[in-house]
Amino acid sequence: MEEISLVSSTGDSRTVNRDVAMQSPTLKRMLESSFIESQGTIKLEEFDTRILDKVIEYMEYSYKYKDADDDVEVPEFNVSPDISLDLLLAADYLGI
Amino acid sequence: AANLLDKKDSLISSLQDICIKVIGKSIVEYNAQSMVEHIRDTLGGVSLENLNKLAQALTKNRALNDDTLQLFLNTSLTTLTFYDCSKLSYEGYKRLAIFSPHLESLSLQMCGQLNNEALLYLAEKLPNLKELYLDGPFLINEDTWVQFFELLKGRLTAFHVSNTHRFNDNALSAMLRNCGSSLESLGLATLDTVTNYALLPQYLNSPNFHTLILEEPSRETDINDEVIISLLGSIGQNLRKLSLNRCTGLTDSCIINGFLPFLSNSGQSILTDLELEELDQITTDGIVLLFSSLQFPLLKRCSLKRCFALEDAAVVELLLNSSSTLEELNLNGLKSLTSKTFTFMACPNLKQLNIGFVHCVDNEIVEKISKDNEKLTIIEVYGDNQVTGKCSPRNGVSIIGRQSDSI
Repeated sequence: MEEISLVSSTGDSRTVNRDVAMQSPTLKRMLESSFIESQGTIKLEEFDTRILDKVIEYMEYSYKYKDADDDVEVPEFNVSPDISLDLLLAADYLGI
Repeated sequence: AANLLDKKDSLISSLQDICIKVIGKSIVEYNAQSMVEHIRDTLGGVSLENLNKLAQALTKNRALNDDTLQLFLNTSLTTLTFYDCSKLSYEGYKRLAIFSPHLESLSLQMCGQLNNEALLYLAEKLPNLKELYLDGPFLINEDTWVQFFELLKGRLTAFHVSNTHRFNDNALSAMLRNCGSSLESLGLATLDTVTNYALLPQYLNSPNFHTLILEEPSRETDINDEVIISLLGSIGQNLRKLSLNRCTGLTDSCIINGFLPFLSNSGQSILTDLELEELDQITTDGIVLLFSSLQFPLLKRCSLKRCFALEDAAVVELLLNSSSTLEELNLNGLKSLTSKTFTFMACPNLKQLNIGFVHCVDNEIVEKISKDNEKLTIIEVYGDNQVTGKCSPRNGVSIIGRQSDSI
């Protein structure tokens, strides 16, 4: 399975499965574009590492459970109040 | 089960919704002033849509008050909707007018504390205000309404008011005299002291009139066939939304002499929403005539809830007319319907269907409907006791209101 890298404002890089990242319409457009981002490294200058990690955690969570059957217990996704606002801005940007 | 009742179709909430819930909760719990300020600082980054969702989340917790109001005050805002203003005081409304002077459209639901002074203040300080939607402004008295409409003379394009006994005939006539010719959207619902609906046709004449909502007059004779017929005569042609819920005085004559001649342009109507709930005097023949004489190529939402006299032929005719465009259909309480109707139901765009209290509905019918309508996600079956836990509709369809389901 193909992997891509997401880079935070401080330069920390995280690898993510391409299909997981494609859940975000914003990332999807970048990955399907003819720009340099389509080669698989996307710099997200606005996100610090903490937000980036949480975003990736969410996308992996949602990828895992999106087709779950009714009888599967879906755990709650926890967000702590202190990052909630920045995370909202990030989620807004990514369209997730 | 809570998700089911909230009509969420996916088990996973979006990250935006999760964050909005957390933010809303922390504002409620700590009433955190710093949070409010932080949000205000970054407000530029939050989309209007999320701002709106945040307003909804706060409303759910009854947490919109003068402090949290500050979140939404932004000089560039032109549209604002609050779903529960019960805790907003006069000061709050005043602040609203000062900090968001460019508002063009304002919706204040459950605005019980909105008083005379505050309403006039809004009228004076919001020079661009064109659309006003008020629910429950029961402190506003007749004199203030009159003054208010004089201030907004010629400016109002949309005015909706519901649930107040102080909006009376004099207020209505002041509204019509000052704003009648500019109005393009009017909503009057549950107004106990308005009786003279016959005034409406004399004043409403904008060629761009698109939304008419008249609901639940205090006496059923106040909104009668003649009123609707002459009203549609002047503004019917370009109507996109028509709601006459609980105007129980209406009969087939209103359809024959009002809807048929005036709702269309050479046989084609551009209505997208048609609600005729609880019109118990409307018969099958009337509805059949309506949907066989006129074309409704844009009709998306239709409600015939509790029109008890309707039988199969009425619904079949509606489906023959609009099955390709319908997205929401409410047939709640049509107790004479038989399974025959549902064999005709194949609507490629239908998303929500309410067939509560339609006694013939059973597991087999629900399964068939879910198969024949591929975009359907929600079927409401309250009171249909032949729909049991054994019913297995297509994947992606939620059945709401079964006796066998528990929370």
